[in-house]
Amino acid sequence: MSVGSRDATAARSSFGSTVETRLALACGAVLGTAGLALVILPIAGLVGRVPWSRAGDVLSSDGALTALALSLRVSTSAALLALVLGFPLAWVLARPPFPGQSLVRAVVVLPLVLPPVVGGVALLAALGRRGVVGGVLADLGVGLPFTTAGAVVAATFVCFPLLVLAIEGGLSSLDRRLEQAAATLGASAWYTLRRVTLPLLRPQIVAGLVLAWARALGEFGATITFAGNLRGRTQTLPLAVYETLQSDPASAIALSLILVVLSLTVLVALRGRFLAAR
Amino acid sequence: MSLSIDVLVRRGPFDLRAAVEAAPGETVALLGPNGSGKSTLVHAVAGLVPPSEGRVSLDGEVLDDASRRVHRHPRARPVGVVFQDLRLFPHLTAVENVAFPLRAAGVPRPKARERARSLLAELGLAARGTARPPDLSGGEAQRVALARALAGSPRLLLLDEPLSALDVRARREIRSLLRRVLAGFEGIRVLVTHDPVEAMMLADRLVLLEDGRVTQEGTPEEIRTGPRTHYAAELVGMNLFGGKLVPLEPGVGRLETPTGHVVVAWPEEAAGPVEETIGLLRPADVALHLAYPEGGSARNVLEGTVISVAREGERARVRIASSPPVVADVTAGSAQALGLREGVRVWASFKALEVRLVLP
Amino acid sequence: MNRLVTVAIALTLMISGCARIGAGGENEELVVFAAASLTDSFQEIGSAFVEQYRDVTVTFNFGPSDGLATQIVSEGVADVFASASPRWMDAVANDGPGIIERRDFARNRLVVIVPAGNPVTVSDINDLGRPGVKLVLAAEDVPAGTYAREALAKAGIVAEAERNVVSNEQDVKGVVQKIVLGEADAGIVYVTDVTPAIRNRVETVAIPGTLNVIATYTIAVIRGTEHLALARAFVAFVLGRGQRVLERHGFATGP
Repeated sequence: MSVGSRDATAARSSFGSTVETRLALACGAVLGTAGLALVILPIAGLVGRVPWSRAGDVLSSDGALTALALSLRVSTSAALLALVLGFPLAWVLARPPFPGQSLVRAVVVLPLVLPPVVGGVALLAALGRRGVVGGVLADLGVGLPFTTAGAVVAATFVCFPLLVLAIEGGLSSLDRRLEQAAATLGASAWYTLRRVTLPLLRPQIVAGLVLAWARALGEFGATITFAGNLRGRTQTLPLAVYETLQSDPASAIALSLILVVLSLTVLVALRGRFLAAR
Repeated sequence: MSLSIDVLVRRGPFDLRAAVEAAPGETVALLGPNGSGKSTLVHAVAGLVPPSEGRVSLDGEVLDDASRRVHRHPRARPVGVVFQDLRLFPHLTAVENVAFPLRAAGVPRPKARERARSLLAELGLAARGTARPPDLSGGEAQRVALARALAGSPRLLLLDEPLSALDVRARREIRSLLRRVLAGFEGIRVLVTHDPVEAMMLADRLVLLEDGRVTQEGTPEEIRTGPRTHYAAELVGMNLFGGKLVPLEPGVGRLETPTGHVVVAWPEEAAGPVEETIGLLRPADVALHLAYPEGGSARNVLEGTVISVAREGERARVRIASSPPVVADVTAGSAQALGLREGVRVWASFKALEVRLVLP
Repeated sequence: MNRLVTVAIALTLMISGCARIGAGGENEELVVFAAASLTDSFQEIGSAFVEQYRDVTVTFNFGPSDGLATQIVSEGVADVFASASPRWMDAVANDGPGIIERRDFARNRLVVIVPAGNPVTVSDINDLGRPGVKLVLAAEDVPAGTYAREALAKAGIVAEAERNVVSNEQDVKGVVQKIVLGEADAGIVYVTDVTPAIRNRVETVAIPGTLNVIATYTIAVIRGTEHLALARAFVAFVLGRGQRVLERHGFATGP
């Protein structure tokens, strides 16, 4: 037997018959299409039901623009606040194990798995007028419920874990050897952080910020429970959509379009860069 | 000005115990097989691994003293390191990489960049300043790493396997560049490698490191003519037998090694049995036969099977699993004529006089 | 802590808005959409109904009448609709699948509630216009919100009160929660919303008859339902035995 055909037979028998391979590929294709459909169909359905003749009026209405502006302010503030509070935590979690580390991680991830409404109730327990910390704040004249700041707090609460996890992932896969090299070159810890660690972490930081921002943008349950619903102050786009849905579904769909377009724009602008592993 | 190292470094199950001295104006090469502890020593001198015992001092300044818990942080050591994996900052250009130590020391950016550019130019990389590490060739990256280590004007330059990652051509090119740079460097130069050619060509003095211990020190010539361990002998391409020398007959002795006995000429200086004697035999002095050579004068005839035959030009190096094992050099033609290949049974013969004895 | 757990569960249930009474499974199932303010009373009515009729299941969807009406108009899943105001029943009748046998079945009135302790000392409805008072109302289109604004208009303080509104809740129960939690200073809800469960956590401030608004509750069978007989039976039940239940919960019944 010649070498060529012996190789081919070996290859075939190790990979399974071509029929099996084709079957596996077919199954994969079907499931993959179903998965894609799961996401595309609802969005397509939404776009299909937009009342285009009225859309212009709805989208340029005072309420819509106010909600949009508020949403942008709240989401951006929340993402940045999450970064400031979350970076040190990510650092701690990326360190070698210490007692209680898994507890810290569980606590940080909690807002991700908690129903947002429950999150809102929890926030009231802590920061509400009669809350543990909120009571003190109230005495000082600072109130969070029913304020835009409260909406920011609610949004930060839910998007915080996404940012911490993204940055922690980056930190733990960071090549410590580069930091060692920096040390041998005479760099102080601060200089190394600024010129080596942070620049290398940039993709993960951006990814974390974008994910956190997107989550904050879509936040509903915690916001409506903790901050309330008032146009111009706490009624972000999702709340506006929900309220409009109660009486005028067509307009609500038009409003929803803003959220879809906004999210798509941001994701496309980043061109999935942050989704690729480094 | 001098470097003094006398340490015990524990890295997991592995121990490194080494005492090395180096003076300015000489390049010391730490030579050893992989796993011998060379990189550990580099990391220890750089300050990245504190020694468990012992001291490291440079120009009288104590960098490490385990007994007094002194450990100077790497950033405070006047040491420039070129790592085996280079560790260039991927997000910075070549110029920015080289300027890094200067900027870290507070030198203003224009001045730092200028110095970096001139360093790169000295190393032949003037045109590649704006390139980033992923775009540099192996040889170019090596030069940037070297420039970066030099930029901080260190008093000790440490190079960890500087040529190991390069292809043959780049290696030749960088080797001659390194010779030039090292010769021009005024401080102390310590180079770490597993490649004997690299060591022999670049170093003034060799320190052999095996299993975490220093086994021999000397100039390349000294090592070449008087290797004291199997590894050293391998390096210089010799057969080495080590063991107890006992008298056999008048004028003739037997060197008893753990793997077999060798008949040698009795050295004058020896009065009786001598422990720890080394016998060196050049591979070219070993003759090979396909049958037991009858009626010859050689006192050593060892039987064994061929383990490998390595052709190097006109020469064939044949390894034989005899007791003790030997390496024989024959001409390529002979090897072919005899049909020498793995598994062939041969007899290796050499004269007692051909074994050069080194007494402790 | 207890209070918060109750609120958390109530909020979650409210947002899902569903309650099923009966054995389910092979039984005939009736879907009833009812205003949030009918939650307690209708759950009791539902239990009694199921006890009497056997082999039936009643599934409730409680929520703001405007939201429920909108759902019926676009999806038409309900068999029976009980609205807190005629307006949203009209919406279902005109824009939706249509209705059969529309009947008014109860009336309700408004009341001002404040957290226990009356933190900002509200003594009558006019105090809701006082600057600095944190007022919570149901959203404009929710019947409770519409009625509340009517009452404020009658008192002549709509503009001042609107300035005090810190949140427009999606249904009247949301207003109740904010007051029970003590986050807001005052809210306007139905008298029936002051249930035994929350009685010791809130205080009420009556709204005089001249300013108060009568909320008229309407019930109807949705046209096209597959359970016509059962739906009619339920409506009849609400108009019959159900009236005592409603009275016990604080609603006004009768002519």
